[in-house]
Amino acid sequence: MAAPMKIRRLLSTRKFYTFCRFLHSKKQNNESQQKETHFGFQNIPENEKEDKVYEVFKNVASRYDLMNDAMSAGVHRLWKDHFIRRLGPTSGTKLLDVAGGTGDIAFRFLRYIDNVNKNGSDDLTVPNHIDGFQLHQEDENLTSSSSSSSSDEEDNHVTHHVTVCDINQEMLDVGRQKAESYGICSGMSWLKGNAECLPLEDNQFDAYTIAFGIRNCTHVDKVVEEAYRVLKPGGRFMCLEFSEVKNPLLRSLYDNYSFQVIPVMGQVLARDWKSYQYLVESIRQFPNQEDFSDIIRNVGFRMVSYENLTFGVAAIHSGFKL
Amino acid sequence: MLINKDLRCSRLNGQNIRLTQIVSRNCSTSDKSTSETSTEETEYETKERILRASLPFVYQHGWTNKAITSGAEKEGLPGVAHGMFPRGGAELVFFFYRECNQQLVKQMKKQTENVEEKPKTGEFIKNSVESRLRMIIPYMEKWPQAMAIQTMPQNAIESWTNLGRLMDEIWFYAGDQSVDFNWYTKRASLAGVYKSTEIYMLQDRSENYENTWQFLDRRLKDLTTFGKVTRNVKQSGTVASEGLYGLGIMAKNMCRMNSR
Repeated sequence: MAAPMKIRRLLSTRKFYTFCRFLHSKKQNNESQQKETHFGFQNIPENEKEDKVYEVFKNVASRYDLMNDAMSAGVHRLWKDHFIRRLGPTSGTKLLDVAGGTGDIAFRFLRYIDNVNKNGSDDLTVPNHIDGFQLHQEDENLTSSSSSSSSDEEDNHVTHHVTVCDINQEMLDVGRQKAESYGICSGMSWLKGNAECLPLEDNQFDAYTIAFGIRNCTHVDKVVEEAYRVLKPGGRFMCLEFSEVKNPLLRSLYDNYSFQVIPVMGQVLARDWKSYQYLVESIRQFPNQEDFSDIIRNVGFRMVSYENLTFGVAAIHSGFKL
Repeated sequence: MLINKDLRCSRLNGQNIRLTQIVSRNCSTSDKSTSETSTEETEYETKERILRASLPFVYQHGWTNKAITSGAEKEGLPGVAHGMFPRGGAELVFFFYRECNQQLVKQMKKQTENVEEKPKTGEFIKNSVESRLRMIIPYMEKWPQAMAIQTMPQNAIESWTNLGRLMDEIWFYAGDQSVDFNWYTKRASLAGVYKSTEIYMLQDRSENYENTWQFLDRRLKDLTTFGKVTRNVKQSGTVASEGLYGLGIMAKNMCRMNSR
């Protein structure tokens, strides 16, 4: 019974916050017609959010990976692996990874393609010459085409590329250091930029990924619009983000863990309570699976779908530009 | 028989079903759904375009995501467009299967429409099955993989539907008009013949698959003899029972137990 009580208390604090902000905003609205957005459970003027988020990630950058592991007990790695497997990049893919400061997605992307090239194929294929299955007339074509394909692959080998874009220089620095320590020097570039107005030209990328980043942007729809703009026709938008746990029992467990454990962990491991308080609050403010799918669809993406990970704690959203 | 009628309706190929769905939607709702259907159309067309372009790559990569990737790239789309097909190679196999079925339907229509004399049922069925199987020949090397994909549990239902539709098409154009249980046995037995011939074909190394066509011939003959035997049994069964009934009456008379 303790759990629901705590949640109620939590919700009431949240209501109280909102109420205070409501009063405050009323005053403010009278003074100047300024748009507001949420920052965790607080409401703040829109133009302040970017700086506040910047502050949060500046504070946590150095301990970002450690905290991710600690908070999710390592599961975030599985989510990201699965995310890349779902994308299934090929040796010619040009990827834009937005809000990917520390390079989690980018390194996985490069490793995935390396593995595919090394193994030839990760798919199940029938060996060409099982006794009895030799093709009569196509044999010559086959040998010639397979030899041309191998040369193709060699050509393609260098053509895949990932551009990591992040608004936060501190996060990018961490990522760069990681790349150096891994000895990665090709197929990757770093870019400082805002997801809401990318400093990039139209129709450039085959795929756009954003993992655990879109939540922190002020205008989610603008971010998705930008994604649509920079993607080539046929390109894929993929987003990995925290989402809504629908099962009430699991949800109460999850809420308890988020609000009671994560900020404490943040204090102990990263000496930063507020940033992690913001983290868990911002997860609750983000639109749930269906609403976010609608946003993606409204921007113009087709074949929009989502897949829940770990009961909906996180979700992969996907859409194609046709 | 209601089910029978439904199945007859479902004879329409995949695209036609889509169209009817779209039409019914258009009727029920307003402008918004019209735009929705047009988006659906473009989605469908793009997917078909990619799959069609992927087929030539099956020789090289088999019925896999990789073939779809190559197909998408050939169409000028990014390779990651293979994500449009979450079931990967299976969708390519089903696409090929449906295409072949449609082609066969066209062929059978030509044979039966505007013809004075209807072709003989047995021969017509044999020719149809043979020409359908011949469509696989170009992909023979990779066909075992396709068959394996079709038998996977997650794909089994669609494979059965596809096979069922194919059998229905053949019987329909062969002029079958049965409305009793016979309807099911006809299709089921032909499906058995088709599937076993397909399996036989995989290991057939004879010139122009001659052995396969002979095998098919034998199986179809088995079917007709089986049909004849059952009919005979039925007939002789009625004769026998009537005879027994007569004998019984005679016995009763002899024992003076006949009440009449």
